[in-house]
Amino acid sequence: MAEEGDKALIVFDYIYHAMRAKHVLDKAGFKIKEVAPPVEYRTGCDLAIEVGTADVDAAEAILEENKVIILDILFMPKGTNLVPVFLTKLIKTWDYGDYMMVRCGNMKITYRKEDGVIVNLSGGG
Amino acid sequence: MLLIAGTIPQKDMPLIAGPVKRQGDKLVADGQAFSRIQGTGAMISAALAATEYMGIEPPYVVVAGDIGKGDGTRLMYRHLTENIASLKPDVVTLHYCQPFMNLLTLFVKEVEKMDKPPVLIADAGAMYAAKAAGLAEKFDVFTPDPSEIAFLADPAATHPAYIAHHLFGSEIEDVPELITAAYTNKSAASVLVVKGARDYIARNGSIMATIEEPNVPVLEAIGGTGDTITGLTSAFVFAGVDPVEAGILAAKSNRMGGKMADPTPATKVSQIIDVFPEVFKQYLCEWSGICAVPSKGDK
Repeated sequence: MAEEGDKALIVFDYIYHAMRAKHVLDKAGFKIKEVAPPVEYRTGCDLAIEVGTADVDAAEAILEENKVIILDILFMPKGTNLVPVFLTKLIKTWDYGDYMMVRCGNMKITYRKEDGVIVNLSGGG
Repeated sequence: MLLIAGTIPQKDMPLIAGPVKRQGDKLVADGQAFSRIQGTGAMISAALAATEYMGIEPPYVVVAGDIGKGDGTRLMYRHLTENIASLKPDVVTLHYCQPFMNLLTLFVKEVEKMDKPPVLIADAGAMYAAKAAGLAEKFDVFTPDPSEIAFLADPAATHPAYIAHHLFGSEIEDVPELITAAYTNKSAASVLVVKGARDYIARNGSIMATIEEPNVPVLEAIGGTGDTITGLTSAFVFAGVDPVEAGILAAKSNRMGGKMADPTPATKVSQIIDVFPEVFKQYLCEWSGICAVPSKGDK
């Protein structure tokens, strides 16, 4: 296990890959945190995954295996304080009968329940 | 001139600058066509519907393709910064783009050199950059949604993704407090048009109006229905309407358009924009006193 405070940040180009990475790493049992990267490490996607440095190689391998595209891995100085982003608190759903809207922050996707086709997109700034 | 600038999520789309017109289901400027279905395209389309109805000059647009790499945003700001003095717009609305604080700062500096600076309106990425760069008070109108007003209210945030944890759960009842906090933190424009299930129009820290009727919940699911409020507000300000009144008119028109279009969650925002002329015909005179619309021959 990595020492306390010894952590790395996996960053992505697109939120899609960040969310898939969380799913894959959670399922594989890694101890991770979803964080907003510090401004100096921003890459275009505002969600990054924090892992212990000892887990970096294994995490990278399993993400590659699952075709999750990593933009970079940053080794953070000890004591770096990252803001946690709780996806479960960010994501909310609304049921419109035949359609479902999923909202994450200021981004929204509306899909048709019958076939999963996305019918509307919104937000993102 | 009403100048609208923003990016379109389309790879390799060049910089387009010129007066805009509608051609079928597209917008066309400088000989180039682009979508009117989402984001900046929906915003421009709504502004165009209003300027056409009022018989005033159509928006002059500066748009470029940007899929998140920042290339289109750089082209857009370079064009604006180099040409703002000669274009001499009355109103400038900045919309979807990457939140590059340095480029926005350079643009605002050029605006401040002008003899008659334009009314400055911002939404989305341009609004994030204005807040993060400490330039919010240089702007006349911001048009945030509830999550964006939470971002403006948070002194530590530089992007909506960086909103403090306690603000993630922010719902409609928090909006008045968030508006107060945004003004206290000097992160608000003079006028805020907060778009949501209930729309709030505020000026210098005070809520001037709330609009919640007609209530069409399904509009929340339709992408671009907030962008249309920004476009309509811009057009009404350009027509000479006070920004607070312009925000009220925009919110009312948008809701009524939503009601009259009888939408489902799969309706496209362009179908709602297409109803705006009928909304204006039925209600604009009653709501605003804008009654005499010049015929095409009067131009």
